[in-house]
Amino acid sequence: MTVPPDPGVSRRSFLKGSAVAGVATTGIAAVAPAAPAGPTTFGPGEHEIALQINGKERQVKVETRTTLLDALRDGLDLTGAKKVCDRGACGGCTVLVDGATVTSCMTLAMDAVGAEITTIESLSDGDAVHPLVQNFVHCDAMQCGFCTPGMVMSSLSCLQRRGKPTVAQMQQDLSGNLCRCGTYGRVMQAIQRTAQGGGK
Amino acid sequence: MNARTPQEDVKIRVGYKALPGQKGDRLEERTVKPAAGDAPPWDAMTQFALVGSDVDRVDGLAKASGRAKYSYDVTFPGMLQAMILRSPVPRGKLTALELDEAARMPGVQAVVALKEVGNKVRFVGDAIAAVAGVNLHAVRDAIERIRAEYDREEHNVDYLVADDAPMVDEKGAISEDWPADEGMTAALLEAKVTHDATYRVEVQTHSSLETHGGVARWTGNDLEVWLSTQATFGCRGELARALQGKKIDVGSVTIHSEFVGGGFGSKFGAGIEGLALCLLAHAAKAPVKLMLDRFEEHTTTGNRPGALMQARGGVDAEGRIVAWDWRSFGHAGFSASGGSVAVPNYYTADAKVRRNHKDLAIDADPPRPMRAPGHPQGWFGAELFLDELAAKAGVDPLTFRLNNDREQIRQDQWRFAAERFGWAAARARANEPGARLLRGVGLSSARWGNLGNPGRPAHGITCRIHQDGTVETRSGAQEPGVGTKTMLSVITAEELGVDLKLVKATVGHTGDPSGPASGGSTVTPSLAPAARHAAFLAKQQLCELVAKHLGVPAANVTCAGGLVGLGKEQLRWAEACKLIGPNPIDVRGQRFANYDSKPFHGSQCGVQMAEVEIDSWTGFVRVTRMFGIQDCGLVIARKLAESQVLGAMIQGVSYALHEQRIMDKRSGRMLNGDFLRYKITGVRDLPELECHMHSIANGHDSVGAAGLGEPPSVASAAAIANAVFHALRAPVRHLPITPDKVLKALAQKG
Amino acid sequence: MKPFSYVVPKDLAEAAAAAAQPDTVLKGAGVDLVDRMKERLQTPAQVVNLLPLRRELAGVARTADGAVHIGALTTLTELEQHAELQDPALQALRQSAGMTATPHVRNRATVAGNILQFTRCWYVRSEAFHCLHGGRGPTCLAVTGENRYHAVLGWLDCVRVHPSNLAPPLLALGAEYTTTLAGKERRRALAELFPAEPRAQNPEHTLLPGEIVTALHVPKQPAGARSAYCESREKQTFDWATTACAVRVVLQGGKIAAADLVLGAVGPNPLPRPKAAAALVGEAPSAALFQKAAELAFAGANPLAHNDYKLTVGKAIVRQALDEATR
Repeated sequence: MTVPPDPGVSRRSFLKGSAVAGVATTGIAAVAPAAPAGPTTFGPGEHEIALQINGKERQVKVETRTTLLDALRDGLDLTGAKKVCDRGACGGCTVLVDGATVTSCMTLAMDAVGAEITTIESLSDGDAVHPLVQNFVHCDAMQCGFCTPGMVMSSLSCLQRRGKPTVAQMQQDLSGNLCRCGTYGRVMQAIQRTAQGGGK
Repeated sequence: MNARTPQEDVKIRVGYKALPGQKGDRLEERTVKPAAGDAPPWDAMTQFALVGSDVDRVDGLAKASGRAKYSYDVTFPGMLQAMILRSPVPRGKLTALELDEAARMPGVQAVVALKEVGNKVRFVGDAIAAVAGVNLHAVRDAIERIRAEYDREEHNVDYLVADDAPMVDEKGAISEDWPADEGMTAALLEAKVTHDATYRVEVQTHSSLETHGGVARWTGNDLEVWLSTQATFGCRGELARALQGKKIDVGSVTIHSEFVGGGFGSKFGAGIEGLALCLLAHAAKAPVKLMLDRFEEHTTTGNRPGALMQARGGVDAEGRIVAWDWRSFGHAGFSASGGSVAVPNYYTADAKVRRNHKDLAIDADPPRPMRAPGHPQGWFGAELFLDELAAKAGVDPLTFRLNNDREQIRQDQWRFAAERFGWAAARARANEPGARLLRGVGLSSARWGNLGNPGRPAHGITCRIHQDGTVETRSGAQEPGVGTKTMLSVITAEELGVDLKLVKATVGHTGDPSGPASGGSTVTPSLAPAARHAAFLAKQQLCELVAKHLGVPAANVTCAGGLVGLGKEQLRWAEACKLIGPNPIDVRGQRFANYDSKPFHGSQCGVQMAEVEIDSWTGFVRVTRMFGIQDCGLVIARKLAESQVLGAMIQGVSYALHEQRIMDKRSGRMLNGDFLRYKITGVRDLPELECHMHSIANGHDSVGAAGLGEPPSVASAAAIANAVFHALRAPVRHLPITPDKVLKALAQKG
Repeated sequence: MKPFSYVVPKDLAEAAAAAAQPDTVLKGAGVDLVDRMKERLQTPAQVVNLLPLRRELAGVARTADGAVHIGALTTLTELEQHAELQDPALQALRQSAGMTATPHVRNRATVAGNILQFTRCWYVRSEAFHCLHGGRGPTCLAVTGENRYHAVLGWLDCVRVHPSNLAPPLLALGAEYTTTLAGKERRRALAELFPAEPRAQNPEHTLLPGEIVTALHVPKQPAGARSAYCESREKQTFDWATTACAVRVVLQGGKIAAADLVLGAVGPNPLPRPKAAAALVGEAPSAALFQKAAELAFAGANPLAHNDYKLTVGKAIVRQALDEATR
């Protein structure tokens, strides 16, 4: 679906002619008065967007090239999701978008506008902790802990989808999360314990 | 417990009770002389309330909830981001460096040169300059505007063709004659069966998930650095030395490193990224964050070196090893050191032994220590060689080990592991003729020797008891994930006889007492006795307060089980602590030298066994199960100790089957410097894993603990390689054991 | 990534109009594109986000003629789990979707994006190298360099492999694709999406500037049709296939009445192997027959210095796929 660039036309001449507009329905703050026709265009500079994060609307300044991960970490100080490989290969940056695990490092922040974003920060509030998080602690499903928030989010998705997952299902759902310390077995124990009602 | 200072000789029991299913305790008596003022020794008879139990990781909730702030997560208002320009040239000289245009780019706040024109460039990734700006996009845009030019020289990134490399034949075997040695020749001639083979391992990168780097902030001449490091104190000194030009004293530098996302041996230094970050923050007069990207992490922060190893040896008619000749060659990067290989020495006590190693320089990132430096490589070569030799001699590998291993602890472990794993049955099971799936089992020993060190000056721990009954235990050393905070908390709570919840451990700030780098499995054995000494001293002060309050002699007051007092006159812990003023009891414990007497053992022993299933059509190897027994001295926090052992086994699977740095020889550049093509074992490749913690009272200090970074990392790859040998009835002598190599081994077997 | 304008079209017509503008790329989930933009291999002035069009361009449906319509923006997760694909004739499609990358990627990655991926060749995908691919340099660096994951079949001057998991089963099932260009809809056989001569200069696909893939169509499968997709890897968790094979067979009276066999991950295109398929027709399934088909599938192979293992492994995967499809 990629269009080869035409080297005959410079970027600058193109930008001059492009319409810049905003629509309220996308949740993206208007950049300029709406053009009567044609698509809405943003950027390339910085602008503010609204993201639905953990049930709250959060305003954050982004460029079009800002990833969801950078918007969360640098823009909103939600640093639970980690930047590890920055290429969608390790799951350290896992968040849920509309309930599904995604690698936020490969998701443009703009693409997440209008979606429900759930981060690791939603699973605890002071001493009140989601049973899954409690079971990660109980099962010692971590060592250095850097992959752990991502593991928790993938585990959460697994539980939400499967209820009582089998080992094969857990392996399937965790297969996008890399752990260098080698905690996989205990992560699965934590999921199973949660499925059995532990950690409450 | 008597709160008096013991200075007399103390008789203790060391060793271990019989392993489950075995008969006969291995307990011995020792007489030890604790240092003046130290706590009395724990030994094999000590009854613990907390030590060795299934406590939770004390910072587990911080990690699992995402609240833990790693260096990568530290943020300040106005903080800048930074990046390093890296050399694309593997060898040569920097001939031009122009930074002005980059400095003028929008959003850029500081640009610093990290090399001067005329400096050598030593590998692809050598740091040239660094830029700080408002965000990484702006910084990256600016990096592209730096003009750096190089005089390029001929380079080599393949140690097998380095100047001093041995000749290798088309099958990968060293084809040069062994250096002459009459004794060795004679020993080999006398042997009933001999064998000679060459082994090879590829470069593995540490691949810590948190990359190297940190955040620096200057306040006048005071510098604070949040650094992802395994050595807070080492980095403080390193940075102060490097910043001498800025008139910085060591005392003006504070390192913070509360949470570290893995290190595995790669994070002992602040490195060029640490220096760049401080220079940029100084130049920009603003806090700066500089974290390496994944490619930089793979290519500039060290690795477990590749090695070429050759063994020859022989056994006599009784299956005893009588000759053991070994030579190895390791890649050493541009530094020309660090490629060394270690091999087991406990099989060859009566043999004629020779060992040689040579490091070979190449134009690439040099090695750094990685979990048991030199050991996984050497054990792979040596243990596979032993299995090949045993096969030639017609001896079962386990029997062969039992015949030759001189370590009593491991003799028990071999038998225990064989029983638990079901060695005899699994080994005897034949693959059906023509079967597509081939099964096999293999084993390996392990050894790591480190009983901790007192440090110079002595490592310390601060222990504070507060009026509200809470307790602090603090070390300035760091914690890269091994559980140091939990260890300190457990030791402190045990010594004071209080609930673990009352104790808060803090690590990673150089304002606190000094401790060792997280290397060589030294932190636990070095700091556990210091933590205990600190708690012991604090307890004495509390006992004195209580004695005064009760009007009884302090010498007889005890503090245990949450009560402080004498006889029937006991204060609850909380009440006793109320006697403390607004200033807490605040003491510094220290790590004394190890006892003069002989410890139960000088090194930790372990045994691992592995089972594999190989698809003979595709060459795909799956490790189906592994069992490990690991001596770890006194187990302090069982779950955490097991986590480290199980994790090491998984890393072993990864080393055995998946990981290798692939270099483009023409450009000198790593081709798979990411997590898309640098392959690390994931959850679907996970074998069934089981470990048994072999707790041993070692009697070398007041606690007798051991670290677990290294010991369980030694055996796994070797055990898997031996299982592959068993399954294929042909050895794969080159790690990682990828499908292409399995198919080649099968084809050569015919 | 370099700065770019981000275009949000309201409908396909707007997307098509934007796509026709210069220095513009279309983005589905962006799994592949964002990767290349991060590497600064692709630095478009304008990115058209197609995700708002999911309402019209996503989803799987059985059409009146029994064919299966797959919207271009259907995610791999949706494809893997869709009820219409539980049919044993379409099993290969479901299997290949489920084996792709990671769950995280499959939750976002689109069907069209998977088929239109750039190669994963480590020389092509690094800013540091200038190879023949796309005319960036004078020679193919992999052919004489590190090539353990590269092509063994059907390569000309560039030994890249086509990384799509979905293309082999779609080809084996006789799929067609629909595009829109300048207001015109065109429907063609999927094979036409890939260059007839997969040379370094040619992109991985034959789309014209501004052309947008809107759907894939899998024709109604005859009674007795079965399919399977198998791939080899170096690890089970998230890996690129080293070889892959999709087969579709029609079983009638214990014999193979029709067959299609397509290899993946071994050449610069997904490679239909008609001779291997033809050898199956009229025969009863047997290990010997599958072995013969596997040999024919790799006939004419031209492996490189580090990848001849792919022949052995690939043949095993062909046998396995045939075994699964006929079991």
